[in-house]
Amino acid sequence: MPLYELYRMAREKLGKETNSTRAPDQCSSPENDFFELIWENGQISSQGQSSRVRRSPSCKSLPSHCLPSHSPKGRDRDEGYGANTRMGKFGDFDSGLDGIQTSVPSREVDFVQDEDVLPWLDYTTLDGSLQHEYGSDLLPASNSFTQLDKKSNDNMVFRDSQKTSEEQRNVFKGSSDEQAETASPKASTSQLYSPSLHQGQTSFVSSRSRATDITENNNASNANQDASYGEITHILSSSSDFTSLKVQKQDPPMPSIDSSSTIMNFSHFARPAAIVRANLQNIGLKSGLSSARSDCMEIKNKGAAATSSNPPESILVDSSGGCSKEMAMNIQQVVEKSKADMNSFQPKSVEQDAVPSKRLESVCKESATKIDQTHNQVMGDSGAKGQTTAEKSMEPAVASSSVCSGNGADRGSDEPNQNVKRKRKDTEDSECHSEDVEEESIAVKKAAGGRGGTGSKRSRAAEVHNLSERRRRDRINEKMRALQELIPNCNKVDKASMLDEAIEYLKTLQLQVQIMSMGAGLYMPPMMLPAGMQHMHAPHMSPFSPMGVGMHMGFGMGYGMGMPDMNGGTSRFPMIQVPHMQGTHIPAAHMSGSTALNGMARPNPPGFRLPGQGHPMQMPRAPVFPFSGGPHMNKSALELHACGSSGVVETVDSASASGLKDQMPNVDPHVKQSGGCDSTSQMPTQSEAAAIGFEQSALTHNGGGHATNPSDKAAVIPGPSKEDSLVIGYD
Amino acid sequence: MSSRRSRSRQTSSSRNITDDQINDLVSKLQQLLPEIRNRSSDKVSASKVLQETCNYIRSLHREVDDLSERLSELLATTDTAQAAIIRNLLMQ
Repeated sequence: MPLYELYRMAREKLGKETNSTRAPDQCSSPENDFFELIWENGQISSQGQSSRVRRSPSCKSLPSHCLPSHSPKGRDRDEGYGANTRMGKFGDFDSGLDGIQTSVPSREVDFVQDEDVLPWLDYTTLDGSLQHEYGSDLLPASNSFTQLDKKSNDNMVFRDSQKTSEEQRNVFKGSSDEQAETASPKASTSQLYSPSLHQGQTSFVSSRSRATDITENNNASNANQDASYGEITHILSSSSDFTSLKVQKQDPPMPSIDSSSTIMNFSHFARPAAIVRANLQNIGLKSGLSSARSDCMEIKNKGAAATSSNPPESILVDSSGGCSKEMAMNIQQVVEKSKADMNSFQPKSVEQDAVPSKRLESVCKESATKIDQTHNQVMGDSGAKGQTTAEKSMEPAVASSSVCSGNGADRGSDEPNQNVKRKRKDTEDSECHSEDVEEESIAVKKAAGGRGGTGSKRSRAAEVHNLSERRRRDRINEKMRALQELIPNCNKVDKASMLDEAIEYLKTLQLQVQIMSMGAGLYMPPMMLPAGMQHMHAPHMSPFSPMGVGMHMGFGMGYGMGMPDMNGGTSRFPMIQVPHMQGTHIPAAHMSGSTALNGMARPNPPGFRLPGQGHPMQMPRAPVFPFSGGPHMNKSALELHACGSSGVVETVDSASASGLKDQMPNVDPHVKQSGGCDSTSQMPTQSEAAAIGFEQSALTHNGGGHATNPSDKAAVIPGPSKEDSLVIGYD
Repeated sequence: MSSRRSRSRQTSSSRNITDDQINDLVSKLQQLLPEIRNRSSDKVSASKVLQETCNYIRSLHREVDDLSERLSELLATTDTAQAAIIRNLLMQ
């Protein structure tokens, strides 16, 4: 034990060091889940950690992840978080695996590690050659499973150990049993594993040796993973990370992880669609997991075919992973309907995998029975300890179940129905829910540990109060951190400046998206304006002169493009482009006059043609678009000049003659004036840069712009406004 | 802007930030979120706002990536004066 302690200290230091750097784009909330489990492990199991200690040196990413596991304090969650995020996308993966490992009580460490190994092995399956190497590792895992069963049984007999550990053991026992069943429908686990054993020549040596193997595997698998997934970077950004983490979280104890991990790719690509909750019902089912497991087993046996069958599984698992939190909620239902669900799952598995449906069925049934058994056992344990402890134990069970494995979740959810329901009411959003569960469980565990299993109601009530408050704060802090991850170059420490930064950055991003959508819109072939768009902008445009209309059309469209993007984030640009047309017509504009302009603004409804009423400067949604309208503005401005006063031809000519660049000045003032007050003032860096660019051009052509203004009836650009805009821009 | 500066100065002077400040900022943030902004001004928890902010930022990132891709394609395929303009616009 002293040795282990020493390791722990070293690890903590290491983790703190690594915390400083964090990768952007990482959302960290799920990792707390990991931490919780880890904590349990830290408290309960020493052996597993020691073994893990060894691993860490070999695998670079591991140490940081390992750290949180050793420290039971909530503070450590932060560290763990930092370390995890630091890893980047693949770091998440690793962290997930770590969480899995740590989640298992000490005795089952072997089991967990084996399972951990399995995922990586499947990863390696991506590379055909690598798989063979890891095949040996894989086999030990199966061996360990059988041993695990025995151990778990022993644990059941001896209740002296902590209740949580007992529960977990039960859970794991159940999972292992199921595993065995999935491996082969027959009754006895030892026999079940025999086939797999046959494949592996290596016998189960010792947890330590295997641990080292695992580290090797991790390294190799990491390399593979990086190579294979290197492309994904952008897509991974937000939800995909979450989901992937969740997947791992959910499945940890089960071999099904293999499939899920391999599937990561698919999940990432599927993510953008935001399907996270689509398959919730199907996902939560243990049957699905069991089927996945069976698939995995087959895959292992077959070896070569692993990748082909994985994708479908991965989808299943992925969806389940995304919904893992909801899984916990649905578990009750799931348990009740488990058979039906299993049936529903069977077709899928049959289609996707070569696994015979009958086999799955039998497996599922067996697993269901197992679940019941485990449940009963757990109940007995908790009952023996007394009501209070039982209550407390339930909560941890929930947490562990949600985090650890489908099996555990099923079991855990059975008992604490009321807990789940209450929590469900608590928060609409799934993440928060899971966090609550975890945090609560942590606190409960702490309290339980301090009291030694006998707590008074009063202290409990106080705890609950503190807990809720702390939970809320934790949630906010967590979100803050997530936000910080998302904001580049944000090294602010205090919340206020963090939020400031976030606000600025948000504005910047909105602006950027608008600009870019404008740019993209410019090149869209001229098309019909959607009817909705016309209506939307018609009121704005109606008072304007024809050319003004043209301009506004452009803006309106641009705006329309931008908005959906901001809202949905996925909108294509369905429409448009007046600007394009305008651009082409510019040379002719000053010659043809207003009629030409009308022609240009083809899509504009009759209502727009109110000649002579131009308030061209008023832009429908000017504040929203500071610069986004640049090109549009430019052209439209030219048009305005042209048609506003036919006599101004000179200025227009000069502008047009000077070239596209020259037109910019005109654009600039418009833009500034329109958007200056609102968005320009707080314009972020990018926009500022763009603004400065405009400014320069504006300065050079300032005289020309002024000349046009007075002559123009529309009074396009008032001088003062221009100057204001300049000031703002430089500010 | 001035208010922001003053606030930041204030915060730098005193380490602990009042809840009011946070609430103020959160509400500001909320105004930037289309999803929450349109939600009829009901009370939204800070964590919710922050969460939405994260989601929103991510969606914006996606959008930016998407658009940059699209734009790069467009600019690569077209070599007109317009392309030059847009290029200037975007590169600055």
